Amino acid sequence: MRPEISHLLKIHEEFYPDLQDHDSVKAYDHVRGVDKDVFFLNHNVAEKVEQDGRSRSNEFEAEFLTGLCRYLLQQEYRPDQITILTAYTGQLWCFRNLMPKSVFGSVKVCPVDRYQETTEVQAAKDFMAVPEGGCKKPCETRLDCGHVCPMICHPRDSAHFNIMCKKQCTKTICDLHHECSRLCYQPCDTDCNFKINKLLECGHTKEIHCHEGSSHNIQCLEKCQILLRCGHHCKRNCSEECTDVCKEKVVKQFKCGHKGKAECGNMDDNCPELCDNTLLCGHKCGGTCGACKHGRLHVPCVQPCKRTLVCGHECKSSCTEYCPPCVKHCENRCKHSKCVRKCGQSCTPCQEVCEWSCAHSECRRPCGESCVRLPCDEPCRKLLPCKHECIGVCGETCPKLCRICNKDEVTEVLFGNEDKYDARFVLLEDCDHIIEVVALDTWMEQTTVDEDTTVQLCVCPNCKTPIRRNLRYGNIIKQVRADVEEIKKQVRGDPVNIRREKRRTIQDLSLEGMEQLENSPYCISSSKSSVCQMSFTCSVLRAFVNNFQSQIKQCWTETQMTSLSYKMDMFKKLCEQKRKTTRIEDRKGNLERKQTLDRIFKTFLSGLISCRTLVIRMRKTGIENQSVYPIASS
Amino acid sequence: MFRNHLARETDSPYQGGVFSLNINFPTDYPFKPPKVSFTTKIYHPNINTNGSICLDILRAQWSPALTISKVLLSICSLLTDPNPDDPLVPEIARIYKTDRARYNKLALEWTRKYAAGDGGN
Repeated sequence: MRPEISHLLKIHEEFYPDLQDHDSVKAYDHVRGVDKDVFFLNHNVAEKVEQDGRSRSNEFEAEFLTGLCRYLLQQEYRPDQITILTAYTGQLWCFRNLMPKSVFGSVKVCPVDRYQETTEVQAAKDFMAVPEGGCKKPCETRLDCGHVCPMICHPRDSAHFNIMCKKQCTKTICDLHHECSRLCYQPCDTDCNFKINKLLECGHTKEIHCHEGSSHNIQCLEKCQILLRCGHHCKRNCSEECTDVCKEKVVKQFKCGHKGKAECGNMDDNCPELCDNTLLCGHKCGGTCGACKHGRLHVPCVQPCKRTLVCGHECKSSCTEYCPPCVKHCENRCKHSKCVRKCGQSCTPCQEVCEWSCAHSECRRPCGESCVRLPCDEPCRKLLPCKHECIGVCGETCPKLCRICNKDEVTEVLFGNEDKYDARFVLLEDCDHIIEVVALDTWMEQTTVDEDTTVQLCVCPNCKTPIRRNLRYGNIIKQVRADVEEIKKQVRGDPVNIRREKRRTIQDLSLEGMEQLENSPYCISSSKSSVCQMSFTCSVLRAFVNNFQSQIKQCWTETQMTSLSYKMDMFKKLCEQKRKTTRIEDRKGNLERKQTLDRIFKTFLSGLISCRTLVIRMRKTGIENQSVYPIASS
Repeated sequence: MFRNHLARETDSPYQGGVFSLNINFPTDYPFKPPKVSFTTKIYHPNINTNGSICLDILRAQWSPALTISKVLLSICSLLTDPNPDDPLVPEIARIYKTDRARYNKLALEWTRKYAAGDGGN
């Protein structure tokens, strides 16, 4: 017990007459943050009687002491050094509510009659004015960085270990004495990011970061000022090498006579006028005059084919001279099963027993073969769910419509006999239309004996859906299907022929291709530009060889193979022309001519790669004309 | 055989003209398409001087489900939107594609001359 407190107890002799102070209590420090170690506080806020009637509490006192307690903690007292004694248990609960454990930790609050320890401290007012717990004046301590401490008086962290100085850092971090851009408490920049204007070797100045200043690779982004030979400015940046081909757009007159805008330095005859010729495939050419070599060698047609194939489907590939086999799912089906192959492949005929039977006749042959019985023309005797008579024919699938209940739909005129009282109808299961039987017989018959003998599937006269399964017209359907199969077979071609042709073409390709690649005359050329050309030509050659090989792998019809053979022939012709070119002596006057020929070879090689089967005959003629032309003129 | 008058009212060079057509029904109609031809002279890329009409539904695309009124409607729309890519008279198709103003002028002249509203020739 502090002597100041024991002194109070000694005022009246009757209290503790023999009370003596231990020596240790005389060495106690003064309480930090308050003027006097012991003080009393006067107030006149009345206490409140608790609900049980025995205990009391005073909220004013509790709030005051809570504030004082917080203040003392700010003086760097540990919570376990502070104790609050209350006179009533009610006051104890009042404190518990006001002092959350997170702030006050292990500050002891207990009724006075239970307290047995050495007491330490109590009381003061208006703590909010001193948020750091010191006095109201600024701290004024000079920090290690040289700045003044930004806080007001703070007993906590008096050594200033954790004070963060948020002023601008004043240290210089580079040889040019630029200051660090960060705040004082942050680690300094490693690279100086101060913006400086640097004079480059080319004479331009460029704004760069200070730390980049010593680098020799500063790219000048100013426009190149050099005039090219043609008189136009180079369009590249100052630091880049000047362009070989002037990109300035100028109006030029081309060899073909057209005038148009083109790049000044581009020597190729790339006239931008639309070609507008009609190709052999019937479509308009989509290329330009220049790209089509003035109409001598057209760019490949990119129009969709859209022609109707023999199977009734639309050709989905791009415009080709020969439509490839149809890749849709086969839609052929019978009563028993459906074909799951691709439409262009052969169907396996159904081997189940034919189900075409009625009370008068039946067919017991395999479903896939032609039926041996004739159609039965008797009316169907079955009753519909509505108890009316079926309007179908004996032995066929019953139409779902009733002459009485669905009068309008049944009697709607198509061929003319639909509204007769005894008209009989056939249900077409592929589209669910019902057609009067006499008219449909004629319609189907007509398909097979049509004057223009095109092979085509019979279709519903109403909606043109192909009729693929029907018992009555089974023989007609099977006949047409057999014709279609025959055509599909022709389109696919003889597999033995295809294999032989593939082998031959691959062999030709590897011989010609490899010879051209390895003995390329450009490889021995010494001048710089020719070396560049060599690598380009070689890469085009390699692309051609790879492209061709993959095309051969994918090829599965004879027509495709034929067009690939065409390609191969053209490639061989080209190579021959090129060999002729290499035999031209390297005299002074010939050099330019050789380069022209090289360029033409390259063009045709690229043309061959892009070339699909489509107008291949037209292109073949074009290439032959074109490749003869320079040799003849030389 | 029956004759039909086609009065044009939409915004085209044939506007206001009255065009007569012959419609010939073959014996196997409707298995075969009717034979339709213009008897009034008309300047159009798909109709020649004999009055024959180049229209797919009158040939390969014929279907018994097409009624005469649908056929006439198709002919009307052919007048408004000629199909120069499949011409019966290539010269008119060429003018239609290259010099639309001249085509309109000629078509209008022919309409005034031959289809002047008295039922044609």
